[in-house]
Amino acid sequence: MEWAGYLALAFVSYSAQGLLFKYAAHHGCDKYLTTFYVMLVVFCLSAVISLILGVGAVTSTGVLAAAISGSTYALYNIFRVGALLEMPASIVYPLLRLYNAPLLFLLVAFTGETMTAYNAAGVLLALASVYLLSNGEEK
Amino acid sequence: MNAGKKYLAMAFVTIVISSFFLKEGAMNAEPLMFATIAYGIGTVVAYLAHRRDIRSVDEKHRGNSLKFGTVIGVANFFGVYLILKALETGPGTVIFPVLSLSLAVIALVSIAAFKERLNAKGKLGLMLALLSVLLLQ
Repeated sequence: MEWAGYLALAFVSYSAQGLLFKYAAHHGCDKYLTTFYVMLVVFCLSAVISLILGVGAVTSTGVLAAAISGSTYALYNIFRVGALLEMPASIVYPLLRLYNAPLLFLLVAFTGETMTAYNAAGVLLALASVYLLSNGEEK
Repeated sequence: MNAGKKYLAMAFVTIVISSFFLKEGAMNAEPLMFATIAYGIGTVVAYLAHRRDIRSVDEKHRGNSLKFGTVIGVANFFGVYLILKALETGPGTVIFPVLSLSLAVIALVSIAAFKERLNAKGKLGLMLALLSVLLLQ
């Protein structure tokens, strides 16, 4: 399959995940339990395939980064379901997707990445959309 | 601040931290190994977080949580796999912006399926967020 085919399937998968979290909240799923099953399923699939293909390389920094990234991602999913229980997905997802703006500052500060003029414009638009979206729900 | 906004703020902070360390980890671990460790620890964190509340969840909602959690988990795993496959031969400059547009699909389907209503500020905010996400790639 060509890369565009993989991209199309990944696009469907990403959109489906976002919507499934909303449907989960809509069906009264427990935010902790749903997150637990999501994390467990991905862990089992990754572990089984790792064992089949052979355990890959990882440094101690990699283990530490994975531990912090994984634990905060679990908390993110719990909080995401919590937010979706109370607020419209059409507000929650656009706001959450703006995480790239503070992430960019962290990457510039700690990893030496550079900020382009487009990125700076993106940060300004992100600030404007945070203001607009936080007042964007029709009463 | 209401409960929804508090959850949203905490979700925002945690996804920033998680993504920062994801980038750091990508340079120091083979992807499948990284996923195994990250999701393994994430499973423990989610278990410890929900343990207190497990008795308050009724059977029906436990069953729904299992169904949705399993389907989302499978979609999550294959989503990452498909992106890695696309990135093997495709340009990241096209792949990541296209993936960001899934935000529009989620918002539009939510508006249609859940009858969510945005006022003029919300609609403008959604469009600016899309543009911002594309510029921040």
